Amino acid sequence: MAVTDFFFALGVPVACELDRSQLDAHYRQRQAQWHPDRFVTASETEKLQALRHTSLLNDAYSTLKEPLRRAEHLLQLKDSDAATYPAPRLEPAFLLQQLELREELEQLGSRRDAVALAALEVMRQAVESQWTAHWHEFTAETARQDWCNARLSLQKLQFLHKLQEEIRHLEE
Amino acid sequence: MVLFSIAEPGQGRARQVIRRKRAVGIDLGTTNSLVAVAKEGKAQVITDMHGRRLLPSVVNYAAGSSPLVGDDAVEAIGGTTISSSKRLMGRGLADIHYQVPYRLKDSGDGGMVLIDTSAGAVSPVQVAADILKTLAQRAEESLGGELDGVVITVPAYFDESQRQATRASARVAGVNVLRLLSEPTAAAVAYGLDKQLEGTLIIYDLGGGTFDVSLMRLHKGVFEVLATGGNSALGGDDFDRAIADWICRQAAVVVNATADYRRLLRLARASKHALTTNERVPVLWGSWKGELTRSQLHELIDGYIDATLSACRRVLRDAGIVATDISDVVLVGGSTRTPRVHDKVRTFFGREPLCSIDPDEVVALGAALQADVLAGNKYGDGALLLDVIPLSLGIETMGGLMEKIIPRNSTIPLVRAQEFTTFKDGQSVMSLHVFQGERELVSDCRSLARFDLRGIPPMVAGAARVRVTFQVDADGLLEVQAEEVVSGVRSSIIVKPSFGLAEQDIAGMIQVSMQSAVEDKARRSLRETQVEAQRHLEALRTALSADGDTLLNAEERQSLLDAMHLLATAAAGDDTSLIERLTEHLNNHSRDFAARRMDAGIKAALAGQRLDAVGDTL
Repeated sequence: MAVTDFFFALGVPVACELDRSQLDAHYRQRQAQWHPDRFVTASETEKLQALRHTSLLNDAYSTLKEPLRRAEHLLQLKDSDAATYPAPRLEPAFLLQQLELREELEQLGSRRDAVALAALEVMRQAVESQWTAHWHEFTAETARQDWCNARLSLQKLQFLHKLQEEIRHLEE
Repeated sequence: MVLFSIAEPGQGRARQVIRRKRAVGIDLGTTNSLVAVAKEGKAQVITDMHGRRLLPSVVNYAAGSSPLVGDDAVEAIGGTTISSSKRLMGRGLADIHYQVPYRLKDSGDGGMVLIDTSAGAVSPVQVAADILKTLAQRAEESLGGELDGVVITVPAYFDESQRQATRASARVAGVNVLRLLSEPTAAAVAYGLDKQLEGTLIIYDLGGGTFDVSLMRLHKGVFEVLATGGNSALGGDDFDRAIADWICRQAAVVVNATADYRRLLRLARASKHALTTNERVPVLWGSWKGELTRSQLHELIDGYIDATLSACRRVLRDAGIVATDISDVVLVGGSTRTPRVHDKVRTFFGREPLCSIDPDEVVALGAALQADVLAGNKYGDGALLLDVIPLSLGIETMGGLMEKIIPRNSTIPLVRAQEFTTFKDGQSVMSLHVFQGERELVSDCRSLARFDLRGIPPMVAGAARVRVTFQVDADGLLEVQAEEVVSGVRSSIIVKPSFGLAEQDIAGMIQVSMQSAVEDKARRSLRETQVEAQRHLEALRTALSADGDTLLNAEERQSLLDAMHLLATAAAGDDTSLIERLTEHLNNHSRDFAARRMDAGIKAALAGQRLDAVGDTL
């Protein structure tokens, strides 16, 4: 199935970094025009069309506003050869580091005292700066259309995202 | 999927209305319901003929008569009186873990719970329909004609089956629903917050039995629900129970009897209300005499209020927003009148909450404003209200796991598809079970629907591609379709949630409601005929006693008395056409007598005699 181009649907340039205020404005303007509430007295066909179109807009917006999901969508659109060559392998050093972070997180989770909370905060910041670094890599790779390395970076971002979610979960 | 359409957006609106549409907002509440209408941009509550604003959400069913609704039902003696049935909407018997003052029974097919009444089993949908019908009638009388449409509010936490049930009750009541609107959104609209250019709002809704918090963002006329949370078993009733239990502890008594406990709860509530203006109140229970102070009250209820604030904290976190980002806090629900609630909310958000509109009416008023916009009376003027689904939707996968297809707090409408495959060679049927909830195991989520996709051509395991599509419309109503895409064999099915009543059930209810409309009409015409017959008989009796002896001979007199007797007997019965025929019969017999009386009256007047009799006849 062809992938629907969410960037096109919301009228924003196909890129990693995007202007959030432009994205928001375009989404709202299109919603205001297409929302089923604007078609309450219209025919069934028009109602269905409004429903379909706003559904697409909602899907597009929720995808593009999250950096990771935006990155995944970007690769889906651009990296059309993805299925034809084997998936690149993450370097062992990165995997090992992830494993260590995860173990540390588990220990902190079982302690839940003030010291553990402070350590959790340190870890959160460390993971965040790693994320930023890999995000910049990914941005650069997509800009020069280096899809193979971009896929590697995306995998790293996915790992880090998962870790961030778990840290957040523990903090609650 | 259609990406861009050639049709001009909003073209359907070209068929513009000449007459202003009669559109109202209805707050279908757990305890009370009400209806409001917008006139020139201002919403007002529509009262009944006695000036009452709130309609108690109470219905009384008795065998052989039409249901009584509202205050009439509260005062009804006999029959079965049903209250708070909103909690039963879209619920099965297994979901009800609390006491209700009436008998519930299983529908037999795992569907929605039924209430046993002296007029037979009644579905919660029917109860809601009877309340809706009463409110719609109230509005029609006030607005002078049939309603074009209504906006009905539902709690933001209402899940799929509860929304379906609400829709169904509107159909049974014969009202056209423009939109199901979430209660917090309606409250924000009532305060005109949708007119602001920008803002981040919290709607804090503490009712008798439920707590609901919603976070919304407003930006240039688009109103977006960012996240919702709450607790469906937390409310002002908990305050009352806490005070009641405190009284029991202090008085060292145990209150078991239902009637006594109800009396104790009333005392607790009265004490709570008294403490909104006084520092301390005397409390009397039996021989025990004590005093409840405000600080003691706070100790009793702070735990519950703090629980509401935790829910607020979770909602803020979900949306990645801090309390200081909030520009407005709106208070909804009767329990926000408790000063302690007000104070704690103000401290938590660091700003004075909005409470100038009656917290019991604010939702209906907002719904009325939105109904006005949706009906096309104010197109282009109203804000666009974007809603989210309160709970994730998904299907069961191997091992009883919940695979979420649409995560909670997703903006609707939304269509999302996911592919699944067969796990056995040659598998021709795939069972799909739709759930709603946040937990990992489907056993902890709510089952919405189950259906089979049949006719999958034989393939090896994992080769079939079954695309399951979830479509949620602007009201939050779900439609699920499944189709096998590999073979090109397209078989798809649309499911209705199992708790949302089967189509024939709804059709049946509509028929009964139409039938009863016919019956109601017949009953009214019988009553009118009876009254008319009585009026005739009464007039003749008076005339006979005045002039019967002088103007009629014995035979004439007897035949008139016979005709009167016949009619009097018939009028006591319920055969409308018989009463009509005998009224006509009596008229024929009395015509002569009436003419003679007229003559006699004129003669008497000319002779200057019996003036009083003339006056009596004319």
